[in-house]
Amino acid sequence: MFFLMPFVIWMFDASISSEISFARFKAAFNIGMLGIPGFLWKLVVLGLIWAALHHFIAGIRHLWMDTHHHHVTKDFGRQTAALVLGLTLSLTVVLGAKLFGLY
Amino acid sequence: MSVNYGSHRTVVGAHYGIRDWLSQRVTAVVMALFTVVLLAQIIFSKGPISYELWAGIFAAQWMKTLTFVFFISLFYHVWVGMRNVFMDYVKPYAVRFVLHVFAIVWLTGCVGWAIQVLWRL
Repeated sequence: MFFLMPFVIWMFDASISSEISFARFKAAFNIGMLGIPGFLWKLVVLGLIWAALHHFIAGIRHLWMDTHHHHVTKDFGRQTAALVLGLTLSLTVVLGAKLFGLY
Repeated sequence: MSVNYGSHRTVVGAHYGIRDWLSQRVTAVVMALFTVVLLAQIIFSKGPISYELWAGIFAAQWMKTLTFVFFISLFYHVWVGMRNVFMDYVKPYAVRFVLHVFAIVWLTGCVGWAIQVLWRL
């Protein structure tokens, strides 16, 4: 996420600045950009979605542990870690299916 | 190094710990809030996401302001996180120093670009 930050800002820039740049933004993912085909760019975005989602949901877990100290045990840690992994992966699959136009 | 945990911990110092810990959580909540607000506006729209719809979301002044706060939160969050990673895993001071400088320069460039995009909307 750290190294792909310029790519994220480029997506924001291209998608929001004008209708022309918006069309360029769409073309990057439908046709391709810089000699890299569109589906590979989508794969990069899916990787970012996965990373961000994992960070988001694991962050909620951390906030829960901060505010509910008495819940925190070794078992709780193991179970919620597995829950974060499962929840993140299923949400990534759903969003990935949307991204690649499966529904 | 002095002991920084347990009952014999050093109780004096700059107290960066609590500040970093708290700012990491506050910035996270701001970003989570932004994400929910943005996703809600997309989910409750109809049809494919057109340029009008997408640009319309960011046209409102409150959304611009929230996005600005989001970007600042993001970059501060990244700085605290990366700095922690470097402090935990990079022991040679020279390498750590170079990485810190790189992270600051990288993030300053990114924040400048992000705000530039937001500013001209």
